[in-house]
Amino acid sequence: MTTPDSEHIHAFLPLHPEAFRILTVLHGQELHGYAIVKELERDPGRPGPVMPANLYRRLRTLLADGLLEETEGPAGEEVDERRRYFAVTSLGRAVARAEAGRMEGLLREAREAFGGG
Amino acid sequence: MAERTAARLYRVLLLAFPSDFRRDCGDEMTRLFVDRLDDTAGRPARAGLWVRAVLDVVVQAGAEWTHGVTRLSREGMAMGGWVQDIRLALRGLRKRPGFTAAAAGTLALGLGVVVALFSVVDAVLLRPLPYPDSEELVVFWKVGTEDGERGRSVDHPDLDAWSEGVPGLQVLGYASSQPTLLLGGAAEVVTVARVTGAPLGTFGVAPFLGRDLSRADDVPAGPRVAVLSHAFWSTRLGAAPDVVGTSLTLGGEPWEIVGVAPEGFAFPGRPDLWMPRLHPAEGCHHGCNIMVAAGRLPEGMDVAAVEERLRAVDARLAEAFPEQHEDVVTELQSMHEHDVADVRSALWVLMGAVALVLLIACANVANLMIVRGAGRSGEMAVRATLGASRGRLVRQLLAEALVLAGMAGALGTVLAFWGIDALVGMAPEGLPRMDEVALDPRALGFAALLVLLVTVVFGLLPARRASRVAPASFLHGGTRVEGGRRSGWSRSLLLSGEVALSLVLLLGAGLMLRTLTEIRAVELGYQVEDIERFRLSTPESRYDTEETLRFFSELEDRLAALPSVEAAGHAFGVPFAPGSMTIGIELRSRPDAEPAPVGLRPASRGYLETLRIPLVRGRWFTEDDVHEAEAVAVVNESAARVLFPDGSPLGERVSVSASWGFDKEPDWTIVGVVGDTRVSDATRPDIPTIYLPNAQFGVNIAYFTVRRAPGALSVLPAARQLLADMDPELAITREESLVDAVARETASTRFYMTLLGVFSVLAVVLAAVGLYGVVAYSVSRRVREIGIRRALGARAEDVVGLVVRQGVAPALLGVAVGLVASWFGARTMGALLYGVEPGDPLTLAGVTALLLLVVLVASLVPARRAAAIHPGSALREE
Repeated sequence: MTTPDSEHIHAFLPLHPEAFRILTVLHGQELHGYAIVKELERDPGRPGPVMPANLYRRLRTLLADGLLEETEGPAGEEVDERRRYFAVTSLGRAVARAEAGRMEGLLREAREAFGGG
Repeated sequence: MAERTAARLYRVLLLAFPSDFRRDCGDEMTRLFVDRLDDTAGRPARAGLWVRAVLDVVVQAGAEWTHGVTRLSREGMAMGGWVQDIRLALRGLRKRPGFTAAAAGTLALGLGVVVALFSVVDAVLLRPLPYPDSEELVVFWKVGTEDGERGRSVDHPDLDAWSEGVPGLQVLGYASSQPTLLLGGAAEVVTVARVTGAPLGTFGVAPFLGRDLSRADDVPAGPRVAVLSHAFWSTRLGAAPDVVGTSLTLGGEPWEIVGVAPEGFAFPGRPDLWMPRLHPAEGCHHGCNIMVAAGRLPEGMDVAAVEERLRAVDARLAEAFPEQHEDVVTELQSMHEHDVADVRSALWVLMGAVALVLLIACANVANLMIVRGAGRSGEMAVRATLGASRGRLVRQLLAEALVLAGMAGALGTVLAFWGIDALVGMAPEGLPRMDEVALDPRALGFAALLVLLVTVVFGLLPARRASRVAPASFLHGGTRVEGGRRSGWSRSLLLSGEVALSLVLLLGAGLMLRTLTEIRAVELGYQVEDIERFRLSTPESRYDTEETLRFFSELEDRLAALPSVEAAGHAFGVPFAPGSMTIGIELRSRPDAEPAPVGLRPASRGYLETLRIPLVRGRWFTEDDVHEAEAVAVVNESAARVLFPDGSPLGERVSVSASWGFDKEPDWTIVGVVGDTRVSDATRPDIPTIYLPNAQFGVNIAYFTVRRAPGALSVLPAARQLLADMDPELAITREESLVDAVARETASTRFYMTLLGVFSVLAVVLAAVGLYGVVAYSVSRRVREIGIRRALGARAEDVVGLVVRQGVAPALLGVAVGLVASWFGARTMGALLYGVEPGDPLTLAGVTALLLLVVLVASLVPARRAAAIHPGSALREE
């Protein structure tokens, strides 16, 4: 697998918040659709439930962009064969990290501008 | 099961997405949604989830069509764009008030009629009866195993046997009576339900005041107690809180009030009060079988289980009373089912009709939007050239559709409000549960769902087409960017569909119209005009049979002597009034024959002449046919034909299995034959009937009937005065003209015909407008072509022909499809029709011709305009 170059990564930024959240919850684990929904909804700041069409359009785009990949399901765990499992690719991880860095930069700027913690 | 339905419904929603997306994600999304639904508790929350799901699909499908798999991450914050687009859409719609009014109005009309009728269907057919655990409520039937005859008449021994045979089964026998109430010195007739048990308890409701009646109240010489209806208590007794314990004088006897029913409780058929039957349990005197029964299943048992237990009871009864119970089994029917059985098919036919109207409205709006989408392709091309993304353009169109559907939904709800009022106001008396009809949240939810669906369909299809406009085409073709051949095709197909649906509706209305004319043309067998009548009964406490007969006879004489009255008579079992008797009759000349069932109508000497029923043979009753004289009878032609197929009935002696005022059951000698009269159903021939002189039979309930001089005013006020002079404590009821009574008989047919008529006119108007729009639009696109044709020598007629063909061709296809569809559609109406077959060729030809005429006119108007195009100016325009 090639290491994604920085120009390629920055073409994805800024990342849609929902896409960013998906990449984050999938970090280090393989999940199916409903499990992703449950993870996403643990965010208390969410305005409402995650609806299927919204989620799958986003997953599909992330797959097409190469930020996610489909897997057979987590090894060594009970896998529901009728479901599709998703995992983050190395590109996805790199993009998420870059987005986090970008937001961190923004936050720093904001703190300097407005003061406060 | 519910899960599978939810999955199926959700899959229907997913049709809004492109097929590759569906293939890829459809299963997963459906599973996700169903899981989610499973985890959601409570009906409102689940409904909320459905609404969210529809919105989710609308928004995402719109985006998917325009973006496909693109860099979603770059799409940005979608919602801000939507708000802007909706604002833009509102501005755009305001700028084109004609289009907006046509589209929103059409859709609102369709939605309005659907929601209004759905409210009726929901209240009458779908919602359970308004009692606790109402699915346990049943009515009892007795069914002959040999002859299949079904009847609801029961007597006390039946009720006792059923409740003993099935522990926990609650049984309530009831019959209605109309005694006279003396209140504040004035006499009036009230409606009483005479019951054998607890009317409120059986239905699971508690009394508003005092107590319910009980089985213990219904004993031969039991206490005279009564429960009042809430309406009677509040309107007639001023809602007196201390009413329990006081008494009312009913039928000349005091009855103690022991309770008041809760508001709205009105079983069976809105009685003013409930009283125990107080019927002698042993022996069967007159009227022993005139009672019907309802009840409540024991907890945890269904109809089949109880019926199985009742088989054993039936067998026991058959052994003990073979005469009444041999070859008879007891069957149960859900009370809801029983109440709505007569109107079920009619309401579904109407619901189908309004669904067709909505479909036509939708097709029209789709047409309008395609046309408008094509008309704006120039604008779209300019915007695309200037850099607007395809997604932006489509989203704008989608927003417009959403706004339009929202407006239509709001307007449609208002229309539905009016529609419901109108429907309830027009509904015939026989339509049950109309008082429960209201625009309820369910109907509103239904409307909301419809609006959203309509938005998905009409927002996405034309939006997708318009978005395909390539910027370059603007540069090549100026403003003449065509919607393309495909859009022309789909518009023609929509048109064919509209015409087909209109034809189905028109045929329905046409068949109902034929039915009504057929019913009106039926020979009833008596005079209807200038006849008035009222019901009168004498209380047994003050009048014995002799006194009743004397009173009736004197009243009849004095009625006949009133100015402008030509004749007067009285009888029981008169045209289109409640009350009929069926009895067994035995012929003395054939003693071993089975008793034949015939209708029994006690009548006075003046009755025949009053209604001008023809005397066919022999004589009618005279004033000499009194109690002491020889007992005589008259039969109708049906009875003469059925009972005496070989010869004249005159002089034959018969015995009838009933008596009323006199205890003896004499042999009756037939002295005359009269014409048949259709008294209870205009569409069915009269049953074999025997008339007995009331002076010899002695009923104390009768309908007094008078024939006034043609053109004279009502004589009912004079009759009322006459009665007040003779006995101020008697009151008359059911005063009406026979014309009104007959009108009531045809009320439901008229109701269905009116509704189908209104719906089909709506459909035809909508289809005509759609057709006109399509043809006119195409003419406006072809100005140059027509100009060239004219310049090359085409005559005006050629141009008219060319344009008209464009409207008529899809209409003909529509008629062909419509004829096939009608053939199936009309079959569902079979039960509503009389005297006309569902496939009646005359009606079919008539409505087809009418529809084609409308089509022709709708295409001729734009065609004439096309013919007027001047070749020179058309070419200069370009």
